[in-house]
Amino acid sequence: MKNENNSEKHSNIAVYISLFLAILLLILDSLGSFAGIRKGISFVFEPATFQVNAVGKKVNEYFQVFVHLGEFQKDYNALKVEIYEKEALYSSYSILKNENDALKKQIALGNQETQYVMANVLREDLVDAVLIDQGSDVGVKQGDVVTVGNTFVGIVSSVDLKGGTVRLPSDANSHLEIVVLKSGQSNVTKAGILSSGVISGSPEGIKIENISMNSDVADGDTVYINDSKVGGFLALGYVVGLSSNPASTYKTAFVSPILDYDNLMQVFVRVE
Amino acid sequence: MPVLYILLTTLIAIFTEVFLVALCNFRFFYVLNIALFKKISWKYMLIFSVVGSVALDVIYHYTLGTNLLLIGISLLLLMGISLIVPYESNLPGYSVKFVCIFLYYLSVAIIPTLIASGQWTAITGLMIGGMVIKSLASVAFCLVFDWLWSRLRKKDEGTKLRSL
Repeated sequence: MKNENNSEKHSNIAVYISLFLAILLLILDSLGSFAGIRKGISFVFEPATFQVNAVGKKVNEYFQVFVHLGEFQKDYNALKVEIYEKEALYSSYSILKNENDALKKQIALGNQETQYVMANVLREDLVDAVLIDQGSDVGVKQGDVVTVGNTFVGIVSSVDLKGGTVRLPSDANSHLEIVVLKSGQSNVTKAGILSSGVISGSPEGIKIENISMNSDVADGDTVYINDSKVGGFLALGYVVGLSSNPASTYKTAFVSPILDYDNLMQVFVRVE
Repeated sequence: MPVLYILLTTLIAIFTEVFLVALCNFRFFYVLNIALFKKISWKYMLIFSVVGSVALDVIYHYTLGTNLLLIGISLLLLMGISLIVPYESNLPGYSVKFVCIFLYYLSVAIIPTLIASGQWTAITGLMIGGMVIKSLASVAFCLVFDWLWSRLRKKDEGTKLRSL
């Protein structure tokens, strides 16, 4: 107990001495008496404390990231909204460009006598048909041919006042006469025709039948629709998967369409 | 040999203080002074306080004696309050420490500038909030330190087994 009291008493003495020394140091340093000591201590400690200070600040920066996490979240959300706005703007430009491209193709067709109605393709879960937003009120009727430029899309199979359904060549009920031309040949002439045939829709794709066994049709040749229902030559696609059965009198093949029917946005209905 | 230990501890305390001040403006050296107060011999305590605070004065570009004065005033206050509230490892004891540490942080914000340039520092609510948080962290450090200190075996009891 006595020792404890002594220790406490001496600790108090340490505080008094500290205060006395502090005041003494303050007075002497104010008078500039410790300039040498300051330089000495600074020379010893500054390089090491500089490094420690730098490490402390670096760690502090990492903690600041967590402190400002809420602000980062706000910034991130604002940027997300901005990106959505830009995407919406871009998609509207994309639609305009698509329409522009389709119109250019149609103008390049150069057929001024025939009347066309431009229609937007409506999304639907149909595989072998597409819905369009133009109907009988603008003169669209059943059996009209649908194209994009000089490329065949399908035939209007049903129509109402404000819309219609276009049957694609891949539909099982679609049967059309075609001709096959050598690849790279764009002018349809009697001499350039390699073979004629019939296309019909099947689960595997657009199938060509009745290709003459003696013809020089090869994969990559161009397929044109040449049917009385269509009235004129319209490009469809390219020959792929040509096969011939020795026991048969004709070859079969499939058509790889020029147009991607899933990504069609605008089409033109030929109004007679 | 103990003097060497004290000097080594002072060096480590100085570097830890500089690191923690850069990290979160936490005054480790002062808290260590509070934690060691009345636990070690007054001579070692005096060496530790004087050497450490003078070195820190140079590092922080304070007038020599500023840190020692702040520590001395704070410990004097602690001694004064301990005449009324017993200075023990219990809730009143730690409350006294909290008040002293808070006042130390307050004086750190005011006195060095006052001594160096004669200017008063404006204290904002945000600064007070920071001081309270740092004081609480300091008291928590003291609590852990006291617990660890009580776990250490005394020199003359080194061969005795600790009773659970």
